[in-house]
Amino acid sequence: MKQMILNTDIKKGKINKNIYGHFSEHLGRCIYGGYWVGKDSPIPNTDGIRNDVIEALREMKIPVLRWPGGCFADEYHWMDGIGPYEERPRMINTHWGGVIENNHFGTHEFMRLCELIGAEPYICGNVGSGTVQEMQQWVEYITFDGESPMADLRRKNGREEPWKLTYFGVGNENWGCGGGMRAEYYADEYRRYATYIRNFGDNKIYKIACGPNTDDYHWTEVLMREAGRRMHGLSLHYYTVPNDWVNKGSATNFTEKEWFNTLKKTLRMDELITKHSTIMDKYDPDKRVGLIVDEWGTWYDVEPGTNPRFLYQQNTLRDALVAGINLNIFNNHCDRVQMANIAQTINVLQSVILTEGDKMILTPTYHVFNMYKVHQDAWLLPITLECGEYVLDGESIPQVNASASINEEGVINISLCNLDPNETAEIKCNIRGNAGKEVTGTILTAPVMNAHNTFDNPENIKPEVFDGAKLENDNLLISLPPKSVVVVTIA
Amino acid sequence: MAKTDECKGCQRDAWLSDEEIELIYKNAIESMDTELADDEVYKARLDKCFECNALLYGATCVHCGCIVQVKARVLNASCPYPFQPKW
Repeated sequence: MKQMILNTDIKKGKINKNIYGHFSEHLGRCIYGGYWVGKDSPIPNTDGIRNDVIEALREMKIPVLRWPGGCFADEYHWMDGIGPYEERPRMINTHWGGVIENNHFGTHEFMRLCELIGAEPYICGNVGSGTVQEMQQWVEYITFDGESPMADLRRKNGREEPWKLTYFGVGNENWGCGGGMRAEYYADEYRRYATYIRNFGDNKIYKIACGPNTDDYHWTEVLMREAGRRMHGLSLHYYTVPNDWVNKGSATNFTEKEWFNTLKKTLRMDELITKHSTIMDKYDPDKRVGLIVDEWGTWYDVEPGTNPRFLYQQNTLRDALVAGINLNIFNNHCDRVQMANIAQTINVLQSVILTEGDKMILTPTYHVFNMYKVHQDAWLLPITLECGEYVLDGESIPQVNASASINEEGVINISLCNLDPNETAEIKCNIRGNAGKEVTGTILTAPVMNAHNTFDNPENIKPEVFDGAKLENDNLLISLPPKSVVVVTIA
Repeated sequence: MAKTDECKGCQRDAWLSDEEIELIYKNAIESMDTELADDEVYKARLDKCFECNALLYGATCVHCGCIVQVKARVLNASCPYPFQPKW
């Protein structure tokens, strides 16, 4: 029997709902075909955006959406994406396959998308190939309510009132595709660009600096030392790649060893956040600067028979575990992690939605986000977990991964992942403090590790009622099936 | 050109050479446990694909991201053109 202690009277901090955020880039069929089909499409749409996608993302309570990249952001010139469609220049998306970008999805369309799905916009500006003036004018175009060339241009393009824009990224991966800069150089560039990102009226911008790739702790050290006081957030990118970047591994055809390796690699997120946070603590002990994990998720070889530049991959129960584990990690680090954005919502990498023509399916990752939405803006409760190990070929990882929260109504939600594909985890959870008496639950699991939904079988894997938890005095007894993600609610 | 450290492989072309298409076709068909269309059906489907306005970069269907030479070979596949499948 695994032992767990849950303290319901100690609130460790608020779980920022933006931890449940998403990232969408002009890449493959994410924006075009995923969200945007155009106003004349036979696919039901609102102002050119698919209605089925709007409905699914609203249901999932998507809180924030990062756009337009990614690598694309550092070659994106926002003025190409405003005005009449027929006058918008066609360009080459050199970062992602050299495809034609007709700029039909631009600033107005993105802000409309955010309105329709109920998400806050998070725009990433161009440092790599853009100018300070271009970035300054974009913020002015979006948020200035007075008379100015940019505000007047916005009005000319049909939008009288400014939009509210809180989150703005000053470049993307500037250590790599965003300019190949050294940390010392980017820190100065950040200071220069960020100076001209103005707050107009009552709009207050939360400035996010480009942060490290994976375990580049030097980058974090330099950025915090040289620019920490001038930023609100510092990003972190880490992808879960089962094998290596050349041969990443199949999304659906994998062994238990690859299942194990994937989960082991995804658990590394906890180590990365802990170590980067330690550096940040040195310069920002009050944790004013948020860690913004604005690219994360699985990255596999593309689906066989699809264009390799489109990064289209299937999504299985393994991805559900990856999502559940990472979201638990983010919850448990909610003192420092203020936002996370899984890549890339639709048709690219670890998507929550896949589309094919007029059809749409929800992935196991979608179902985890939908189950976990109960944690959004709730208070983190501390958990002590002695769960034992999942051992394979002499290597081991923790069998169970969990987080818990309590909301304003006093409802407690515990999210648990059983990483072991073979063994049930019997858990005795001692509840200390006040708790409700009614226990309900939802589970996502399947008979096989690679269970996934297809356009022919869209509900092969979906959440079911979980009846494996019961209260006995002050103990919650949970029988957690192999390879499962579960949310238990005590009300 | 050799890829650099941890290159995500992004800076490559969506236009595929005949050799790349052939390799993708071979790998995909080998990895699928599925019945294949005969040459007559295959050719008829491909003819539709090559005259379709949803074909991008010479071989990619905009509605599913598939290389049409692969999709057309899978017997139980269907054209993803919204509401008006071409085959």
